[in-house]
Amino acid sequence: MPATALDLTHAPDWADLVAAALLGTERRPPGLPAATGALAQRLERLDPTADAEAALLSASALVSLYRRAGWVPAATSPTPFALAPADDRPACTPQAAWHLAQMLAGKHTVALPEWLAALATRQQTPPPELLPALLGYGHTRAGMREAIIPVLGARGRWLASLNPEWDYALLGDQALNDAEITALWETGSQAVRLALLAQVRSRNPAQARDLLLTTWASERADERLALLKTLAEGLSMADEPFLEQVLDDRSERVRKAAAALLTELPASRLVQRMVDRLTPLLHWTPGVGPRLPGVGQIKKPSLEVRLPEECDAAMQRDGIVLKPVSKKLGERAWWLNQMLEVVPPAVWAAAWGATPQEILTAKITKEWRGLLVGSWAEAARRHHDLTWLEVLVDLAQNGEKALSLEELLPALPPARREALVLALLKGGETLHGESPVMAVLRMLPAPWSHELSRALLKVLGQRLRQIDAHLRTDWHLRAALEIFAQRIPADLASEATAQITNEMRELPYWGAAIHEFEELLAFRDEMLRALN
Amino acid sequence: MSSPLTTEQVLALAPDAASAKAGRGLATPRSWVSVGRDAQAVWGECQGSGKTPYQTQIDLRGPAFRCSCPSRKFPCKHGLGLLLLLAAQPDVVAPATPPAWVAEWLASRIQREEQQQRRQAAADDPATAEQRAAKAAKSAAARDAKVQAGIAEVSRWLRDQVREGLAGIPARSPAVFDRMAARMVDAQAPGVARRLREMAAIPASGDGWQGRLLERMARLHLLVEGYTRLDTLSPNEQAEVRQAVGFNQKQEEVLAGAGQRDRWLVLGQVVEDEEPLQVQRTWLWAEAAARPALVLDFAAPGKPFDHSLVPGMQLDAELVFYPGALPLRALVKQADARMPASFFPSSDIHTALGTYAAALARCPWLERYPLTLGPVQLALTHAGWLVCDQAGHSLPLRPQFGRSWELLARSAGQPFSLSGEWDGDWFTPLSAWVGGFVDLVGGVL
Repeated sequence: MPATALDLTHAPDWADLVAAALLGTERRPPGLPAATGALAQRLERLDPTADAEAALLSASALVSLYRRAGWVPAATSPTPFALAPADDRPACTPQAAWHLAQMLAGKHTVALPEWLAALATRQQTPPPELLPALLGYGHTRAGMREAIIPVLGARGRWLASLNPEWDYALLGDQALNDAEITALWETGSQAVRLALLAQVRSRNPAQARDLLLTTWASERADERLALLKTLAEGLSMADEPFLEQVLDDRSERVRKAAAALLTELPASRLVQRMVDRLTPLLHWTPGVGPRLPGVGQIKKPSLEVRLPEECDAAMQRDGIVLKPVSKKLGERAWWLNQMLEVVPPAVWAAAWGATPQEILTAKITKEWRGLLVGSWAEAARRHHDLTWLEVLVDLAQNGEKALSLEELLPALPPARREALVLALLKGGETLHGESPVMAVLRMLPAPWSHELSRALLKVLGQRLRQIDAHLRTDWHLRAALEIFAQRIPADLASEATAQITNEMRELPYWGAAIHEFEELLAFRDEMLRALN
Repeated sequence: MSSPLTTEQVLALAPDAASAKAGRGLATPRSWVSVGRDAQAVWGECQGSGKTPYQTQIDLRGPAFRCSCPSRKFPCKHGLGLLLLLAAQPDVVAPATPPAWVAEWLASRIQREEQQQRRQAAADDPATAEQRAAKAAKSAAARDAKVQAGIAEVSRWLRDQVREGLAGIPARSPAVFDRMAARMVDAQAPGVARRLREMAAIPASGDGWQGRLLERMARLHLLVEGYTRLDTLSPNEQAEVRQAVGFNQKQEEVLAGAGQRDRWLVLGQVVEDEEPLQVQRTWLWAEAAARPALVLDFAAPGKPFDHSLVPGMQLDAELVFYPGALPLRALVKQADARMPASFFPSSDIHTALGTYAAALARCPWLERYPLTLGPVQLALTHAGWLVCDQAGHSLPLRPQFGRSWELLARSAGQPFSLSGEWDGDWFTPLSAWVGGFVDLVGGVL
């Protein structure tokens, strides 16, 4: 029980009365407390010898009331909070605030990142009364912090400085000077330091690395891991010497993280070591004869593959995992797969004087073809090699089993991605939960273009009009409705609703999902309009 | 025409948080097939899950609600949603002629009001009044006898506890209190029963329970003594004692008394369980007389409370106080203009505690008293939140109050005015004035 304003237990006369009541008058007749003035006059009228119980109860009533009425708080209050700085940007309209309140209360919360981004673009803030709830939301959901920080404004940052749970927001989105950076780096909480490092890194990658080096040796393993991961942004060969050292870190997870970062750098020593290890294992034989479209060469180029004999300490230092994660691959194939994924595929094209098409369609030991194509796909993704990716997409569309379009897609530029999905949608296939386009749509991040969304709405409407047994159990498609409602541009809400008939709304099993689909789209539309 | 309610005021009408949330969801034009309003009423048709839309109508004078939906909540989410829509987007709800289903309801309401007035006139007829008075006197005498016996019993019980010592109570709690409380319900002394029930939680409430329990028991002893010597007290003191024991004065009798006309601000409204009923406490403040008033309303769980007093609203009204040594509980006799609050009372903590002490001196059974503080600021210590005034005095905020950060965010650290209930230990905020009226009962979301 926290201390209350009136602590009667420590008053001597009151404590005597309590002690007497606890013990009971039959064990010891009570005395009356000493008092002066009006209270004394009242107490004198009580007679403990004649009626001990009544005297004790009456005295207790008098003394407790007397003290309660006369209590005054001590005039040594703690200092109230410092004043907030002047607001630096206007608050959003009450209607927009209401949308925020609804999302924070759990309704259509999936739309919160979009709302926050729109608010930030308009240079507005939430109204003050919702700032604590928003800051609290970011406290429990670290993934939301990046979206929350830019809308807080001066008032929000001031609040964040008063509650340790909200210190992640302290940095705000303004650049700090060197002295402020050093001070925060040395004294901030883990969340603050992480955010600080990310912020410095985005402005000046070298400064962030130097900052990290000042305390690297004294950080705990989990902190080293988290801090190291912030180097993924702005990664360059300038970081390579440091990362190469971290390959000898005490913690295995930190070593692995450093290796993962080095594999992103094609010129790193780690990647070069992988090339050296792989070169004797891959033997390329060029084709014979001219390359003519539709005819083929007299003899196709071929690739012979040998598996590595062992996974030595040096390989493991470079991040190669000894035991396969799945049972599909044997140990040695698994080592080969990991090494291939690290090397930019362009290295092989250059070494063998061959094009990606030639390499990917070459004659390869049948057993290892899938492994190689899959590994190259990962390498092309990792090193953003668009030439290779295009050839791989082409292969995937032509039925290459080792490849899946939805895995290649995220690595492509947005416009190219859209074009591919659009072509699939317009392909005329009936939409169902297992359609290839569904997997691709799930991987396609917002924002979706109007063209793509309209094409999707059209095929979706067509599908929902054919009410058959398969539709009733197509829970993949039903579940995807929520994703569609999040990513279709909100201003298409009325067009989406136009595709929905009352019959669909009353479908058993589908009705509720369709209702939510319409609701979420309409809510997003309304919430974005309210910000304009 | 009646002034439309603000969003906060409408939300204060919600029977529970779920209804408030559902109502907010419906406060958008696309939920409504049609909406309209005139000087007296607002109405709309809301598309629910069924084929025919629900017909929702609200008489703004009350506000009184009616909806064709099957919900047992009152007011239902549709009524709340419609009022919220009116508050947030008044342009959407355009003036119109009421459709038949609205006009009929309004007409029937007016008819009912007239009937009630006729019945009242008949009741005021001297012959029937005499008959009723004789009957009432008989049943009052019977109750007095019952209560007297009950009071004698609780007096003996209190003495027994003190004779045997409070140390043995935790082993017998809460049964020892509950049994006695049930006896007092039978004895028709509900005020005594409630005090006994509230004691039941104290032995398990942690450090210092002994002092807290003794204080409650001593206060009940004082009530018992007062009732036993009722004849020796002044009429006002008698009324105070009888009210604390649980005698309820008839509303008509109270309303017959002289009223206090003033501009009254509704400071706040709290709903609490008071077995087997729920009680709604509405605190008001008179601008000119600078005094508080408390309007109580009782309802069975799930049944609607009176919604005519909305926090943040001020009304030119005549209130009649129940007779007593400390006139605090009151009834609204007549209310004219209602409008959003334009003033907010405030005093420093020392002065406010002076009024509390004076009130306690008049009515020792006072459980809580409204304080209106300002200019004040908030402070946070290891022991919890405090409200501090310019003189450096402070009161602790009740730990369960969950909106301190929000209040701080609104105030930006600047001084503001704050009203709340003071129970001698904790200050529980009701409302604040931070650039405008803020209702602090319930949650922000």
